[in-house]
Amino acid sequence: MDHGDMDMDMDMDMDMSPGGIALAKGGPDRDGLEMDVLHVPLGPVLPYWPAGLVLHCTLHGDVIAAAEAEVLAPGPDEADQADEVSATGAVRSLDNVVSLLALAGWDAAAAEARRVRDDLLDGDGHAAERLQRLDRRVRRSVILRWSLRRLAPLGPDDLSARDLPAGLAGDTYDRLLAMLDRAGRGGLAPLQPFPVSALPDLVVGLDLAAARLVVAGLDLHELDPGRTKAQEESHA
Amino acid sequence: MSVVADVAFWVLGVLAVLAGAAVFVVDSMARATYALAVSFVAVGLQVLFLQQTYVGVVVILMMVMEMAIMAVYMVMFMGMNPALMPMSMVHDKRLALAAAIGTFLVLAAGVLLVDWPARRGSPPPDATRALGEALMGHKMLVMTVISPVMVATIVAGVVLASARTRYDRYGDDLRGAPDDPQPGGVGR
Amino acid sequence: MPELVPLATAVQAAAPVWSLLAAAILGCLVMLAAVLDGVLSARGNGAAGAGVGLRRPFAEAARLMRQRRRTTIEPDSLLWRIGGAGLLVAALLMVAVVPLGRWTVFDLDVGVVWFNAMDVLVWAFVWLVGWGANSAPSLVGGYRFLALGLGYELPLMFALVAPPIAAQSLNVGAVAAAQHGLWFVVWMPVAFVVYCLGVTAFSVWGPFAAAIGADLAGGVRAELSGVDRLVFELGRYALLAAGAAFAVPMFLGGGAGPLLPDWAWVLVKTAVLLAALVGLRRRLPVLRPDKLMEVGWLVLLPAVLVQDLVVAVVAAGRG
Repeated sequence: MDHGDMDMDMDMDMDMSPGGIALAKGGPDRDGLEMDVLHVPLGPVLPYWPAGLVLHCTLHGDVIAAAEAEVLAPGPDEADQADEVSATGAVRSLDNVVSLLALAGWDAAAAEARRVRDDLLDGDGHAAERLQRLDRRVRRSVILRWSLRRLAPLGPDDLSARDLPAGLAGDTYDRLLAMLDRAGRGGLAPLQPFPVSALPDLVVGLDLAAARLVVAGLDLHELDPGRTKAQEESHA
Repeated sequence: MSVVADVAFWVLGVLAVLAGAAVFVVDSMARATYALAVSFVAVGLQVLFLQQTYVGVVVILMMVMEMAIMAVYMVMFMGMNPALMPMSMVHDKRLALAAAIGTFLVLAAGVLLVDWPARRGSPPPDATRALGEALMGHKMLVMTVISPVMVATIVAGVVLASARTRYDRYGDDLRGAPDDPQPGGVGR
Repeated sequence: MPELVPLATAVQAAAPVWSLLAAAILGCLVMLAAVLDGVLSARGNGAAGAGVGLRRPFAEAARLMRQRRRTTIEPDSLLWRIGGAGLLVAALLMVAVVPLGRWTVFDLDVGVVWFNAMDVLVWAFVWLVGWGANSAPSLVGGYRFLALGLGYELPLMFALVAPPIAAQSLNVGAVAAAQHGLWFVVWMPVAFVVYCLGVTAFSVWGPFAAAIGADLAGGVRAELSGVDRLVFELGRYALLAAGAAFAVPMFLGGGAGPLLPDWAWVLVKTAVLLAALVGLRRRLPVLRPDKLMEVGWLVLLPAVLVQDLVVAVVAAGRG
């Protein structure tokens, strides 16, 4: 494009902001192109998303180039109520199964998983066989396996390097089957809190859809905020 | 053709010109692209009125698909031109204006001054077949072979120009799992 | 070979009355599809009885009509509203070339290509809905639709080529008439399956609903509200119905069948295919666009090309 004769009646003022929102700056993306950079926070309240988790994403298009995770602490009154939640680990795993199936777009299976979860909460006797049926149905689905395969594969070295539990090995499909497994062994205690500082590593480089599937597949029961930035700075 | 058809034809013509001019006047890349799409669709509809139904519908089909893809690239590459901010789409104004006016005058002169011949006889019953035989005639085999050769050339050109080939994906020995930022759906 | 109707007389024959009738029939099919989807959703979610599901589409439509219109900061309103309303318009234009027995609103001699052109218009409209809202999830949804489009459109185009090769005409009525004896769906199954996938895809429905996905807070319809949302949803159902209606003359023998008159058979076949497509939504997971592109080009396209080759050989052998 020949800029020499171009009529520069475009306002080259760097403070352009239509509607009060500043323009996006450029940044290099994974293919070496310069793409506009968009800052989008995911959370703290989204359907099928762990409550309280905020993932501040830096997007190139819909690919996450960088991310920062934080957990919004509950308010002073809610901290007492949190101890009263009596849902077992099995129920929580099933809740995450519902999220993953709904995010994968499989409404029928997600609805069935939701019913099984309600049955488990109510202590219904038929919950176990319903869960078995759901498990068989999920295992039979070719499309679901195709969607979730090779998504954020974690080997044992990755897990130990990031201080993550061993139950998260494999890719998202393996984690889905592990979640269903865990739900089948009712009466378990909830899993240990997941360190949110490990989350950005898992989602960087993925697009939004894949990232949400990965987060849903991690079976997050509780979140460990770790040390916040302020605490790290005061310790340093 | 009836009066309604005549009026429709002229209205479409005016719409095509106005939409084409709008491409350079609007403030947004997306609007420029779709103004161009409207212009093309109007021309396609005009071609329909000229009894060339296949060509007209195919023009509409191809142009809308192209504009949809073009909008993506326009937005991607015209970095400093954000949506709905004042911008200028014209470059090199004086030369462009001279070339445009000159071309228009030459074409108008050609249309108005050339002595167009009168039709002799009538079109054959199967015009498409007759036209095909007249154009390609004894060279049908060449024509049939040329198409796959052209496709092969296009594919070869794209492969040669590609920045990331199978050696980048698999490594020099072409073995092992491919190293892709995002794996494809067929498992290659 | 049917006589080629000059365009001017074809347009004049499309009297407004017939167009309204076609629109009314499309409206009935849309209602049928919406009610069926409501019933299936309600049953899947465990509601007792069919009452909830039957009422849901109408309740939803009423709610949307009185909902206050939301807007975002600096939306491109012109493009946004054009995109939203365009789906319905595209569906109506599609249905204009489908013959209902002996009658067609717009008996174009290249009806198959017209249908193809109208389904390409959907590319433009869905992207415009995504772009116009000036919102991140909306935009991502619009681009996702284009990525899906690159995967399904070419196989759909080649699938649409197969029946005209066998019927030796691009006129929809002629294709329907050429199926006396053996319906095309019997010896062009690949083309039929790919066509149905294409219809589901351009209606942003079922396994191809990544553009309106739950992971994007609704994707292109995240910022739509009120009447705009209603028109968008109606457009989606209308496209599904129009696609199902077009399959009848192309693959399912047109109006052929015992006992009932041909226009009744067209409606019955359309309704059956529409019900099958609506039922697909909840049963299959959503296909990811980035993975679908490879499948579309490396699996579907060669399959459809082989199908076209088979059809061409048979047609050349017969004619």
